[in-house]
Amino acid sequence: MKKIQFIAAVVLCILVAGFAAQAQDFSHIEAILESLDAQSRFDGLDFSSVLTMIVEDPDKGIEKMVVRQFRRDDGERFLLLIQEPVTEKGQGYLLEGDNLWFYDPSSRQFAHTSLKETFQDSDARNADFGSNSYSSSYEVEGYLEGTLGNFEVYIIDLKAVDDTVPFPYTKIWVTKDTSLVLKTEEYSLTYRLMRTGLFPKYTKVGDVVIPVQMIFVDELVEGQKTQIAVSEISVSPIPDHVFTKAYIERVNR
Amino acid sequence: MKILLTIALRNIREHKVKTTIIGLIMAIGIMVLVVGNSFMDSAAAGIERYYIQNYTGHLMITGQSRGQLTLFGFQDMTAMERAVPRIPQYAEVVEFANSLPYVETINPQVSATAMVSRGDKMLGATQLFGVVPEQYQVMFPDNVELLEGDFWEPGSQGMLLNKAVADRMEKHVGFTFKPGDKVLFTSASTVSGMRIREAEITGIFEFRQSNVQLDMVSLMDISNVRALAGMVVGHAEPAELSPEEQAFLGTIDEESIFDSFDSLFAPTQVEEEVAGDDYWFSLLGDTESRDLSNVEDTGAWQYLLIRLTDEKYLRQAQADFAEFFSEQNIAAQTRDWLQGAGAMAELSYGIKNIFNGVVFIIAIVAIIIIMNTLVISVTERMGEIGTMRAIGAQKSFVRRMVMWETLLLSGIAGTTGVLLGALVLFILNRVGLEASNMFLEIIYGGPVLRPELSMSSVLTSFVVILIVGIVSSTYPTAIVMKTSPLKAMESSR
Repeated sequence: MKKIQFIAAVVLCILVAGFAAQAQDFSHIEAILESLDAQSRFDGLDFSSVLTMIVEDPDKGIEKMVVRQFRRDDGERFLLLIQEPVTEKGQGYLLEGDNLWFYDPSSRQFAHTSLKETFQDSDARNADFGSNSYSSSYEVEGYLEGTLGNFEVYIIDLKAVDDTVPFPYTKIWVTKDTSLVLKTEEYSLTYRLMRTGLFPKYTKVGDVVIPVQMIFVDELVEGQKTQIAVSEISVSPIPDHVFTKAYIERVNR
Repeated sequence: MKILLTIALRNIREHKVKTTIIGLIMAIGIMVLVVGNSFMDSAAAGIERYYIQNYTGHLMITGQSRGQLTLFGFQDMTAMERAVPRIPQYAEVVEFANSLPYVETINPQVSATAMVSRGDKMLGATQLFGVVPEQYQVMFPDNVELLEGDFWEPGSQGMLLNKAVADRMEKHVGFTFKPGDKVLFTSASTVSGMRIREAEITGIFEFRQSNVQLDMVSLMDISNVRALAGMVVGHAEPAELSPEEQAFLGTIDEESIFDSFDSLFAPTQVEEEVAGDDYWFSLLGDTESRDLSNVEDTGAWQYLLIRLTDEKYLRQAQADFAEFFSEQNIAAQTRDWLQGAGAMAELSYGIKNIFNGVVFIIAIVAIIIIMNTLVISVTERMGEIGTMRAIGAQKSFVRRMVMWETLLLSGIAGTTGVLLGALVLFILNRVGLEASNMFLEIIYGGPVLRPELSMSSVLTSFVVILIVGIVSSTYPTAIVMKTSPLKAMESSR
């Protein structure tokens, strides 16, 4: 009897250890996250574009924003300069490494803000305008294989490892063949769905792949969402002075 | 009648022990009811009084809107998504308010939430009430205690920093705020995006009676708060969208988005031309229209707080304003003080209702004990009642006799209970019940509760004890009446 019990215990231990080992083996998923991050970075290149944001608000109706985006991923810099609507024209977001500044031309003041904050009155977050940081900011909690429309995808559950990202839990749908994020679901600490992101169109700029169409759905307010179209893409060099506070002040004069 | 009363009094005197026990139980029950109800009434009145006198007035006029709009802005899931509406035709509304004889004083306000920063450091958040000091102090003369400095001068800009806000922020930065310091306020308005304003602290204050929510509030000049709340003359024109931009409007079906094509890549033309300085420094083009749009809307207010000469005019005031808004086609509405007071006042009321429930359950238990004691008391006297009936007493006579006994007992015990309750309340009022934690502060409606005897609780208690007395004597009397006099007499042996 004791022998049977011993064998059963050993088999159970082996099974548990096997499952545990299998559950922890996310190396190929982590490799996908690294490739997502790498292909979103403009290393050695400057990038600029125009973002057209259509914000749907159940109370206020539809609003349109036009934003000029300048990015230099070497040094983690970006400048977002609002061109429309007229009341917000000239407001800017300047990222200098870890510091994100907001500029208000009506008071000519800069104030510190965070990548986690909402971008103006839209459903986008300031962090949505830089390169990805899936591999450094998250750890893999699990994954599934599935389909989304015509595409076979990995559905990956991620948990934030620091507080630099807007949401502590994220689920991403990544195409198996091209490693493109098609959809994201972002959750609060209590695992309440806060925002859904859809990325139906991408473009290639050299080795870099960027979404040129993004839709962010606010899951707390029914009917609230923001779509962003990226146009006037350029990789021509941007002068250094563009990524400075002085430039934002001067361009507003 | 006289005979009945004489017999009833004699019976009460005869059964001294029983009378004392029942009377004591009744008196304690009444005391519990009086103290409990008075305590809750005092708490409710305290919350109401201190909000009306110090923060909300009796009535609040706002622009018409759905949702839970309070003096602190919207307090629901959409709080950050919606701007507090402005009061349309504000000048006419003020003129009408001033024409009403029962309106004592009015105070306009604007509310905004802002992050506070100094230099590179984000220090925390504060709720801002944009006020005109002269009007604010007339409406709420006793709510602000200035610890340092003073209100800003009429027509100038500045702010009074709440000591509670300052304490929280000072912990992060290790310096003490003082009048003359300048700090930055950043807000996110749904109307004009993010806004930054620098304001000089002209004084440090605390609200004389406060709570967690009010501890977040600082007072600021109206001009700066209007800017932070996005109350400018400009407004966004309706968006003109291209067919492509309209493609994803409305509800979208995620599956079908990724069903309709095989390739995720869109052809894009990438420009590589190097731009000159002219391009970089003229990116925004003309900014004059922007500057004109961002001029402060000096006639814009979100709230008009109204204090009445007497609370009895509240309903009349609500009706008069509703009629005025309807006649003039003004999209505004009135809200009472509780709607304006925000989550903490509502929470106080909610908890008060729970405590009322607890008092009600205690009252039910007391009633059951009293009824049970009375039932035993009457059935014990079955022999006596049987004898009375055997010597010719009518059923109705016996019923009335028991009833009068109970009523007399209830009256004496009830009065004793009320007096005891009044004594307990008097002592509590003198001592004052200090709220030792935030939970109690919410229930008390402030840091100290001084309960007062409430007449409604006295009346309620008397009604309850009389009903209990009548009901609990009727049931055993009915049983005794069904028993024949002979059997009743035998049972006493």
